[in-house]
Amino acid sequence: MIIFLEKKDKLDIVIGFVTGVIFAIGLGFGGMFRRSKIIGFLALGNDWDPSLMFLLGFAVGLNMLTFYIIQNKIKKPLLAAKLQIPANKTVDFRLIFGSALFGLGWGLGGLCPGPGMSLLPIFSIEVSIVWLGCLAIG
Amino acid sequence: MVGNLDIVGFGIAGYLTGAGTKLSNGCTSGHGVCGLPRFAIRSWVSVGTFLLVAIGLATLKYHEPFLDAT
Repeated sequence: MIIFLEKKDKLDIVIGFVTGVIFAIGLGFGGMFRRSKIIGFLALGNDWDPSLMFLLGFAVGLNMLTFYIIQNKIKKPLLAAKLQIPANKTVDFRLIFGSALFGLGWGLGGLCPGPGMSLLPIFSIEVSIVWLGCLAIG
Repeated sequence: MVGNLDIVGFGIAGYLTGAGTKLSNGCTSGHGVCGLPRFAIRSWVSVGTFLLVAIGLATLKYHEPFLDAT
């Protein structure tokens, strides 16, 4: 199927694959694949584990720097025609309601979409069929 | 055990996570890792909401277990 695509689309697939692999490696090292790790961070109790706070903190802190440099100094991406930045600024009910649902699912299952899909190679019925299937339905 | 969940729980969790991601246009990566550093107001509201709700539910489940695999 890939041979019917334009050259540019092929390049997009390669770039998407490479960035996806880098993202997954980062998630793995950060411990985001281990549901117990996530729940341990979300559940406040005797064995609360705050380490994921540093993961998110570093991710956000580092991106503040790189996004600032990219948006204000470089302005043009290396591998695409232009930056695609969402301009929507309105906080509506849909956003809050959706976020609340997401929080319920995340707090219950301990998996958000990225790590959930990255777990596909380590096949398990719970995650790879039930969780992922319901994710797609949702 | 931390993070114990039965198959029904996985189904509910997956569905809620998926629907929530679609409705709020983003997840932990989209809103959290990309939105927060851009100081996008929608992302800050979203991350604050889902983090609070997730901590609330996970804490509740930790102290009063439900949907646990036997």
